[in-house]
Amino acid sequence: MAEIRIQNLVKVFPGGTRAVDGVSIHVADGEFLVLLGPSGCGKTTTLRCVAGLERQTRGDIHIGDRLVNALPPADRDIAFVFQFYALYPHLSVYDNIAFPLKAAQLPKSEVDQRVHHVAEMLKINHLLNRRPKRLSSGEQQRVALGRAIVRRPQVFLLDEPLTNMDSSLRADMRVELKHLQQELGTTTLYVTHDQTEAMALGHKIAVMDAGKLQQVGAPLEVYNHPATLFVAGFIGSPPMNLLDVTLAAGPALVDPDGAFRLPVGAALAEKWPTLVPLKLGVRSEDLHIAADPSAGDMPAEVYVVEPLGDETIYSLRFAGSHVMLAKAPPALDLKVGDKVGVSFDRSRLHVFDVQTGKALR
Amino acid sequence: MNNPSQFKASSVAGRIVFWLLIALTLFFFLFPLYWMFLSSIKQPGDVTSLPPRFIPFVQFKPTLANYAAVLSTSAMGSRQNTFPWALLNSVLVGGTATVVAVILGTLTAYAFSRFRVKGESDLLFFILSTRMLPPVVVLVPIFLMFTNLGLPNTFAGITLLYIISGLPFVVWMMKGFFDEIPREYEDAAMVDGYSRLEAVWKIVFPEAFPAMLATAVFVLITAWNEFVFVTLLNKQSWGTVPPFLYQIIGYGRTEWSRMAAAAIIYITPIVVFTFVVRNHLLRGVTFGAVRR
Repeated sequence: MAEIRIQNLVKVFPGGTRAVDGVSIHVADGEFLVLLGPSGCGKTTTLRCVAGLERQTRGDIHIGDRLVNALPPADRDIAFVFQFYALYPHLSVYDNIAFPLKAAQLPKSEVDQRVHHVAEMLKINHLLNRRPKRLSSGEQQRVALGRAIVRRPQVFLLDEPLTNMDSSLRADMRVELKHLQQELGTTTLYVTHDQTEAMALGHKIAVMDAGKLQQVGAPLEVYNHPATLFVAGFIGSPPMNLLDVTLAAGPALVDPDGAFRLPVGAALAEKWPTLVPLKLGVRSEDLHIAADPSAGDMPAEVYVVEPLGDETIYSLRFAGSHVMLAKAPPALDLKVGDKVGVSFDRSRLHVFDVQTGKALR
Repeated sequence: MNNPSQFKASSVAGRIVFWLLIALTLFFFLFPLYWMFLSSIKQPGDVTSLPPRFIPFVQFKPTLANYAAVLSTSAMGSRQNTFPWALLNSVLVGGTATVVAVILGTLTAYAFSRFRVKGESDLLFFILSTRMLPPVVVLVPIFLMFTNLGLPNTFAGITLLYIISGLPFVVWMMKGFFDEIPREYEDAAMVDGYSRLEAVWKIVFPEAFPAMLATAVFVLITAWNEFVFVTLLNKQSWGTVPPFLYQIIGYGRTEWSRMAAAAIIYITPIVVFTFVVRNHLLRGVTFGAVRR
């Protein structure tokens, strides 16, 4: 078991692409950290640098107490699970799982015992003689996990391991993966672009964009207190409502046309600068809808209705044609065109400085 | 999938047309072979008889004398100028050239596929460009170089030539195959505790093997059939089978049946080899077409 320390990691590819730009992440011993970001944000490159499959341009990587900058992947005592599983097609499932053990030149009896133990743990003992091609994607993923687990590495590195599965299987595997990590207690760095997966799996989430680290924190912390505009827009489904505003006298948050005007308490307004372009962020569950248009902070009109069963998502059109999404219980049952009153939960407003993208708290 | 059962489903007429076309194609390709085989078992008088005789035992009496004559090592003058000697040359030259070209070309292709090579596209174009001219165009310079280096009438000389002419083909074919093999295999093997060389040996080569076989077939056939260079760069009494066959014509009266017998023996190894690897051949050739 070991921690991973990534310090000021920079990776510039030949040709000048700056894939990773000064990223520092600490994964504590036994922790499950999810590296989350859109495709091309540098998360996979970061992971590959930790694995030693890419050599960083600058920065240090420690695994446990060892500085591993110059070590080849084979000497880092890690296991890597690939998006396309990368099972060796000409080897049976048994030989695939035994492959890393053979590299370590373990005695045959121990290889055999360990492979069977892992196969049992992952419920794939009946597949040991098959070739990877004849397995379903879920089974392939189990074999890939088996190959990672069997050598008992210090660190697991997983690169979008669930992306290639259909959604029902993905949900199952997510649960299993989390359970497995709890049971083994192995430090895990997990890359995904799927925020639901990140929220569900990680002890901590590290959000990346354009090669830079945006925020690291526990899932709910990142959800409730996004540190940057990017995190606010990326995490949450539906995404956070964002609106250009400035702080005007009143005090109130006002959109550039003056049509949208949300009065805020003086205590709240004190934290925000005046005359500076701001972004107001409101999560859809923090908008409360009342059937009476004169109730709440301001009136709005129902624009689109998306009933999801357990809740309904309404697109509401405010003055100045701003549209915001609001979640409401299905009992409310509004129709397109209904006039409603909307109130904003003041304690859960997010305000960002447009210039820096940072949250103002 | 293009399988004949789909034709069956369509209609009887469709089936008839399908099999007629197959039969016509087979006839077109196989009849010359059949005629060559017939000629090889005919007496000298039967070979050129008119009307032609197509059916052994009925229209003419078959004989193995031609094979015996061709295979005898004392048939024509010096020891070197015999069919078995030329055949041995062909096997050694073709085999060595194929093995060396496929190994060198595969390694080159792997490097081009996996590593950042400076001027990669220019180099690849240059490699390919050596195949753009008809080979005969460079006959004179090659002849001069050959002579200066003392390569005429040597095993090394003609083998070297075939290796070099086979290499571009191998590099291009194998690069295509390697590009289709996901890099993650090597990545995975390297993380699993192996060096890159071990990863290539244990994972990539087993995957690439069918492609190597397919490529080898083409290189071997080219070397096996090459006539112009081996004839013009060596003296008459030294060479592979193609110039030897040509020589038979030269001896006054042309011994058609002996020539046919020699040709039948000559094509047998290549037919057998191609037949043995035919499954790999199909997989090798279609390899690039299958997407993940």
